[in-house]
Amino acid sequence: MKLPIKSLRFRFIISTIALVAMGLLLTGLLVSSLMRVYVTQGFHDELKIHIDELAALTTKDVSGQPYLLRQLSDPRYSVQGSGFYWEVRRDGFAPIRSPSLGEGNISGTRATEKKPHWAITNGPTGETIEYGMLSPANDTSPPFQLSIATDQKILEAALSDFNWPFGWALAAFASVMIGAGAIQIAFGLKPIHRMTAAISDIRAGKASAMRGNFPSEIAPIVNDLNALLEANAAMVKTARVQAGNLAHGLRTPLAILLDEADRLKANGLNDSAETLFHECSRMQRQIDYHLVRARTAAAQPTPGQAASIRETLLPILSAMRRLHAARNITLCCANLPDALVACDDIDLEEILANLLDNACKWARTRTMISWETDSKMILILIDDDGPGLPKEEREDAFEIGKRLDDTIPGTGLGLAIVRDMVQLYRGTIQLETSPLGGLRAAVALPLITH
Amino acid sequence: MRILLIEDDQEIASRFVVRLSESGFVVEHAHDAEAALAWPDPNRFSALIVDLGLPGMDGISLVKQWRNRKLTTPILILSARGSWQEKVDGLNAGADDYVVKPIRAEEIAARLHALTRRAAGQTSHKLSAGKIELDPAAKAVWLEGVQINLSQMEYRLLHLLLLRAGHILAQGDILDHLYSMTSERDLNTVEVHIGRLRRKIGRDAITTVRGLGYRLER
Repeated sequence: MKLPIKSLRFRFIISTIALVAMGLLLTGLLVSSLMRVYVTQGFHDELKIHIDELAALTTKDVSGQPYLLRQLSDPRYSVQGSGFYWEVRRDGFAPIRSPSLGEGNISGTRATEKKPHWAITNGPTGETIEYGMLSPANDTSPPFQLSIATDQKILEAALSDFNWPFGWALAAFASVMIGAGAIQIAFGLKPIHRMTAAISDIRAGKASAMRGNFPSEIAPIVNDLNALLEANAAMVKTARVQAGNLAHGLRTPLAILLDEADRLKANGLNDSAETLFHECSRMQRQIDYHLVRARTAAAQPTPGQAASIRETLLPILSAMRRLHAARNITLCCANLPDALVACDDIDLEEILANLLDNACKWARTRTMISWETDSKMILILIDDDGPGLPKEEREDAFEIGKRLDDTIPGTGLGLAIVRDMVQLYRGTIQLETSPLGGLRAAVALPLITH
Repeated sequence: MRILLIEDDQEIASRFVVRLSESGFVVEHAHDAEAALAWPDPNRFSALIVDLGLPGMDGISLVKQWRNRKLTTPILILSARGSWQEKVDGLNAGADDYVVKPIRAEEIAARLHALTRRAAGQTSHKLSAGKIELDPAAKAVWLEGVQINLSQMEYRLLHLLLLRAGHILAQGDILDHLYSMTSERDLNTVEVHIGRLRRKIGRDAITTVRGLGYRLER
């Protein structure tokens, strides 16, 4: 399984777990070692008290045989195998021992000085912490050799009794910390999720800018993104206005040239007039085509672009009914698609109006708009019952300046422009045989899915 | 036919006026929408030509205002930008047809003929009444299938009568359609032209309705 290393949430959670685990492990080790020092110290202090008590209780009878005035106050020295042992030796006399020793032995090797000394030695029930010291017998005879030993495992058990619950407590604390960390991450990442949702809305065309309050760390990014979107939209708008102004500026001198040609024709200079008409028409076509191209090139598909097929088609249908009223063409369009396409609305209007106007011009009695969708594209079908177009001529129809019939008004630019625009928005257009008998224009455009 | 051209570009406008006049139209000219709206009784024009890119109030607003005032005269819009957005807006505002600049005057004339014919309820590209036929595109007239020659003024008069065949046209209306407001106008000239036309298409074709005007019989 591949780890989602690129996910911020994953990174935060992994780093939280690692840091909490590391922190608590260090804390555990530190506390445990401090505890060991503390408990061991307590153990040793207790043993020192015990050996002092043993020294105080040890005496000798008249023969010099050592004996205890009474048993040590800690009852564990009386229970056999309890792990608490003492022994008093005196050279030349029988040693005396705690009942707890039974048949076992302690080394007694540490009783070499008047001050107590200790070492780890072997006792009857395993390793022991053994203290030993010499206690003077109040004469010149040999001193008492006092030894106190306690099983090492008693100290280890005491430490273990602390370490396990402490370990579990730390684990529980780690879980709480990681849980709290997860909540904190979820809370901290919320604005980023909101930002993601806002960007999705823009991509889906539901919004043109990112709205809402964002934390101060993210707000500058949001503001920059909004500014970028705004600048892009303004650039497209400016390009359109400039293209329009250029068109306007060029058309006036062209109109004057055309009028001059008309004047030449009226004066009988037909050849010159026709040449002028022809060249003016070519200039006009080139200007129109390249202006549209310039405009569409500026209008690269941008996030947030969305056009409703229904809202765009309604005014076009009404305009077409008015425009072709004299020819009594029936415009059938049942149940207009309530779909959004990833396309600028003005460009969508240009595409659909061009195709529908063509269909109406060529139709005998009717034109029809229908549509199909899959998960990604919408296919808009515009049919007419006109004469249609032979298969071999359909590709040529997309060429600049190609007019299928000079008796029908038009510039011969429509289909070339339509194809450029459709391709700009990653769509396709095809001319086919219509089931109505005429031509079918099939335009596929990328759908915005909710 | 009398038409009103609303165009702010003086050079283009004056050329259209000359060219359309040569095609048999009486052309009045307004420089902007405000002047067009102030024009008395625009319903008396056969058609209106509106440039969409007017200074101040734009052409689409002008068309809307006229339609709101219940004006039914056909409107042809002149689009300089040529975008479908502009054309669709213009048509939905109430225009009947559009042309994209630069446009030859003869194309405008053809569109105007088609619009006025449509407004008169004629579906054929030729206008006809009784034994008379007129082709606005060819500027030709036939009487019982035989082409006849008419002077420019007679042709204009017959064209106007054919567009309102069966209806009475007052002398003042006819005068408006034959002469521009700026030219010298005399009601007697209408009577003179009617007389000349009658001699060419038949005395009974045009009926004089006393006190009201003239009617071309269907």
